[in-house]
Parts: sequence; C-alpha cells; structure tokens
Amino acid sequence: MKILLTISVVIGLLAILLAVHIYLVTRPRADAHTRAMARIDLHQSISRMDADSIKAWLFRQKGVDRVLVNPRSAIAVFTFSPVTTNANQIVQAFKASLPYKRSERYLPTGGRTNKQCPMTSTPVTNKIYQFFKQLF
Amino acid sequence: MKWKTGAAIAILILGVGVVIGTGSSCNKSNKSTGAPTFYDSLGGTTLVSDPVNYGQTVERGYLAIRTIVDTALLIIAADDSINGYFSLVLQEDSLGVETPYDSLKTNMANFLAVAAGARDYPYAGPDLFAAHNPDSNGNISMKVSSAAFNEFAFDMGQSALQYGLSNQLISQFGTLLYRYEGQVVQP
Repeated sequence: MKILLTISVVIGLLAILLAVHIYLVTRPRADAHTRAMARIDLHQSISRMDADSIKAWLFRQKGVDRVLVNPRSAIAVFTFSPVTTNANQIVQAFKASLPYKRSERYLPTGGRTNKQCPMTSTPVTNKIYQFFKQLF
Repeated sequence: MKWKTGAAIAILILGVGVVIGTGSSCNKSNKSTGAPTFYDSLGGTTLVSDPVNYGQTVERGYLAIRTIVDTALLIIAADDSINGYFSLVLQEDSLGVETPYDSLKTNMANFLAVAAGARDYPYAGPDLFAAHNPDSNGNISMKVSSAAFNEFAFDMGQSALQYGLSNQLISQFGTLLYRYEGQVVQP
C-alpha cells in the first residue's frame, strides 16, 4: 500500500514537471509585431520646443516607432519593439543625453494597476490565454 | 489657436445629441436595411494593404479605427487626468506574443469596429457594464467618473482629428462612444 502511494506521488510529480516543461518550451514569445509602451515622467516643466526635441530624440532610438510628448503633463510616451530594444536602456540613455536628470521611467505598481481599464486582460491571464490559444 | 482646436473637438465630441446628416447610420440595426454604417463611412470592407503587417491586407474601416485607437492610447497615456485607468498598458512583464498594450489596442479597436458595423473583426473582450463594475470585476477598484469618460472621449476625438476625419465623422464617432457611457459610467 505504501509502495503504491509512493509510486503515485512520484508519477504525479513527474506529470507536473512535464507540464511545466511543455509550457516553458512551447509558450508564445514576443515577435517582430509585438509592441510595448513606456512612459517617462520628466518632473520639470517643458515648453513645446522642448517637447519637440524630446520627441525627435526618442524617434532616433532603434526599435522606437511611436512617440508622444505632452508639455502640459511633462510626460513622454513611446511604443517600441521589445525584441529590438529595452525601455530601461532607452530611459538611461535619455537621462544621459538630455538635460532632464530628474526624469524617470514610470512603471505601475500593484495598487495603481487596480484602477486600470478592465478591457485589458492581466499579463498572467494574457499569457495563459495565449498559451492555450496556440495549443488548440 | 490651440484652445480653439480643443474647443472644436469638445463641441464635436460632447455635442453628441446632435446627429449630423447620416449620424444615425452607426446604428447596428441599419445593417439589415442596407443603409451605410459608420464603418462604411470610414472605408468599410474595402481591402487595402496593411501598413504594419507586411504582405497582409486589412479592411479600410478597421485600419481607420485601429490607427485612431493607436494614437489615442498614446494621448491617453500622457494625459495625467485619466492615465491612471490605463497604467497596465505600461507593464512589460508579459512574455507572450501580446503585451498588455497590444491586448488593449486590439480589444478597443475590435470593440469599436463591431460597434461601428464591422463584421470581420469580432470583439472577444468582456461586457462593458460588468467590466467597469467593481462589484463584478476585481480588476477595477473604483467606478469611472463622468468627467473621466468625457476626457477619454475628448482624447479619442483628438486622435480622430489627427487621423484626418471630417467634423461630421468625428461627431458620428462621438455619438458612437457616448452610446456606451451608461455602461462605463455607473451610479
């Protein structure tokens, strides 16, 4: 009886391990069409001319395809290809190249995402949905 | 000059009670009578090459809506009066094919396309009323205010203006958006 139980547990654990392995190997990954959005809070007032130069600088970065700078809110947003570039690197280069040392990348934390637009599925549900969509 | 443009958009978007010309054409029931829909006014089902998917085609009406949504999401993300509602699109921890930004863009474009009269781009997202009700959706902690909805519509209108829609079409677009105000803004 004890042996049977041990075998069952081992088989169960192996099945879980196999399922995790299949997920990791077959999960969909970002491709050339995938886009992400990033936001830079400038934390200082800017003019329309400043906004234009920030926009031009961001557009020159590899992998960035859409840019908008709002001088009223002092926020710059851009979309980029995650397989080509990394938003953190862009923000670091931004701070090093332009006179906006107090600027920082805005990343929402748990409490802030609770107020989100609910038409978007969460990253976790999105991952699960994409995984099963590809499987079946 | 800038405030004049803003005021014009506000009048066009907020003055949705007035339906200009074929304004009622965005009513889905018109599909059965053969009357042109708002989707038809945007180019309808005419296939054109997709500028962001090389070698593929897309319906002209859907391309218009997708482009407007795409620009609107940038405007909204930089609009500090409502961007808190959309902060999830800034998350980058999705390892799937679609990021939260891609997901929202597609959902919004498909929703609006279907509402405008499209048949080939089904919306598979949640029902708007349930989705914006904190009692039935744990993802939203507070109800959307009327002011926030107005700002959202204003930003969408700005995007439509940038896309080059005529005043008449922007007004129709506003009418379409405000059809859903009661589902998004809840007492």
